[in-house]
Amino acid sequence: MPVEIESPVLEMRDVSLKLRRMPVLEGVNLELAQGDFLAIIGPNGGGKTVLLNVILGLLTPDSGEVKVFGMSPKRARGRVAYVPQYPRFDPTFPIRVIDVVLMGRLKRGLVGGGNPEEDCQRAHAALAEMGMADLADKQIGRLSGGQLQRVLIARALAVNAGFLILDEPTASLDPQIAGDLYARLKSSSKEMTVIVVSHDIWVISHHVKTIACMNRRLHYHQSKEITEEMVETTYGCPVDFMVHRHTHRVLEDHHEDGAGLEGVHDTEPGGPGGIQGKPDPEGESH
Amino acid sequence: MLEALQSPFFQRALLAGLLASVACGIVGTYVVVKRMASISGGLSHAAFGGVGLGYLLGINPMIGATVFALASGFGLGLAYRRLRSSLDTLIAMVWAVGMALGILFISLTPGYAPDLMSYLFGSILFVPVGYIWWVVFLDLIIILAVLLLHKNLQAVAFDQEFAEVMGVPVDAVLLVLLGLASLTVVTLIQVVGVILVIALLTIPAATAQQWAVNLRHMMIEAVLIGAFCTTSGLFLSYGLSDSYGINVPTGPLIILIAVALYGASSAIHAVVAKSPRG
Ligand SMILES: Nc1ncnc2c1ncn2[C@@H]1O[C@H](COP(=O)(O)OP(=O)(O)O)[C@@H](O)[C@H]1O
Ligand SMILES: [Mg+2]
Repeated sequence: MPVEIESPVLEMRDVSLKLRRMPVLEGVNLELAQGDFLAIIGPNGGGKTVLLNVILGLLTPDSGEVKVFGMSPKRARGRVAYVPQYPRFDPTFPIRVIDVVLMGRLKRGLVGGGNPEEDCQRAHAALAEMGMADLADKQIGRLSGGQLQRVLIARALAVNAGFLILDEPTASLDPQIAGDLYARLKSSSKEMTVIVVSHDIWVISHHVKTIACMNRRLHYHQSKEITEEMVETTYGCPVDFMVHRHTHRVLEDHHEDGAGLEGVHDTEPGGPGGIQGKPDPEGESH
Repeated sequence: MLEALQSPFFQRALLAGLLASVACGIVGTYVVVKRMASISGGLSHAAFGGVGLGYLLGINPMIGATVFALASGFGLGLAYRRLRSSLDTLIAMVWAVGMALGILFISLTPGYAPDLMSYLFGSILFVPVGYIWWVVFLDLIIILAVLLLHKNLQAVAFDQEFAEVMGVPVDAVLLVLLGLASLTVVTLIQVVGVILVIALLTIPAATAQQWAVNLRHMMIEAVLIGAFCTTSGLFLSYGLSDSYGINVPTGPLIILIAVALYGASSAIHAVVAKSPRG
């Protein structure tokens, strides 16, 4: 076996954080290697956004250790791209869509730098990937919610970073566009490590490599299997309700796709582990 | 009316107004889109504390004003990210403490404080020649800063969190922005006085924002609107004095013109926005 020399993309050891004296993260451990594609699910207020903010160095944990590319999150800045859950900006800000996407090309340092031609080309390419090429010159305040979310994703894609963090990026997207996005992320996941927070379990389970559940604690077994225990402790509701239904949906989707589904047919109904493993050819050929 | 242009006083005032409009429009644009209007008000009132100290120590009050404004600007710049929730209160305190110190220092000054009214209400008609050179210098610094830092200034104004994630040194950018805002505020005190600086800095920029498609357009429009307001304010006060013997300070006229323009612009914008367009 080849020896791993590179430091992992993300290393979190026993990370805990209280906000307003309420524990939000408790003993979180997580390690991601290059090419990992992790989905985090969990109830509202479960600390998913806070966890991402810790990885981004926007919040500092009370205890524990966070390393991104072997460095502190602040030092790793510029190598990580981010799609926030909500846009933070003022819709009356006078700026065109393309200039927002160009912010994904900002460089470290007070004066910045970069190659304007390359930046421009990458920004346009990212917009085109999100199907927004014709809206490049539109004012940001004139976009619909879904269009705005696609601009935020394009801005993160334009960074061309080795580590991409997306916080509920598909909440207001059409299912078609959401599926395309995940397929795109999966297809580039050789060069890129991805964390995505999402509630669309049945969509992401086509594409991601592993799934974790977050509710103050992170339940993660480095697999795509969502165990009964994980769901019960994170959502506090019967497994039936969550996993079985979603697995069922996934299976249905596969049948409709109709191609190359070897792995799926011998899956026990209700055995969520069965959805993992086999690549989905439909997903990659968009 | 045009004979006003022959008066060297008037020429100097006109030039000062035009030059100050450049600083005002550019810095005002960032202040408005970053929603820092109340900070600029705090800075001008903090500067008044420095004016008072200047009187008390017998030095040029504008030097005291500059020191006070810069100190409060940097202080608020550092507090900006750390005290999100209590920032408003802090601004109000800086505002009130500046004013209180100014009044206290002036009352402690033996004799009487000449030109006190000009700091409170502005006196563009009586600016010294040195002021012109100072504004030229300030305009150059501001233009240079924008040429070098515009991407980062825009990014921090637009989405500070994302700028931070990208590795932009947000604190340094905020300090540059507040430093420029402090110097601009002190400069505008000569034009409209401590109390009205916030209006001159923000109203032309807010008017420009209604029409601009990007920050560069907004800056250019804000500079032109500011130049129009100061120029027409000067002519109006000259005309009122010359034809009717009514002597009013120029500052309030400039601000009222700016507000009228903002109102007209809003009305037109509302009508245009309703009409269908691509
Ligand atoms: N800046 C903050 N200050 C105090 N509490 C916060 C802050 N941000 C989040 N919280 C709290 O932390 C918990 C987790 O929030 P969050 O990570 O946003 O949940 P989600 O899993 O829905 O993304 C919530 O209880 C929220 O109220
Ligand atoms: Mg969240």
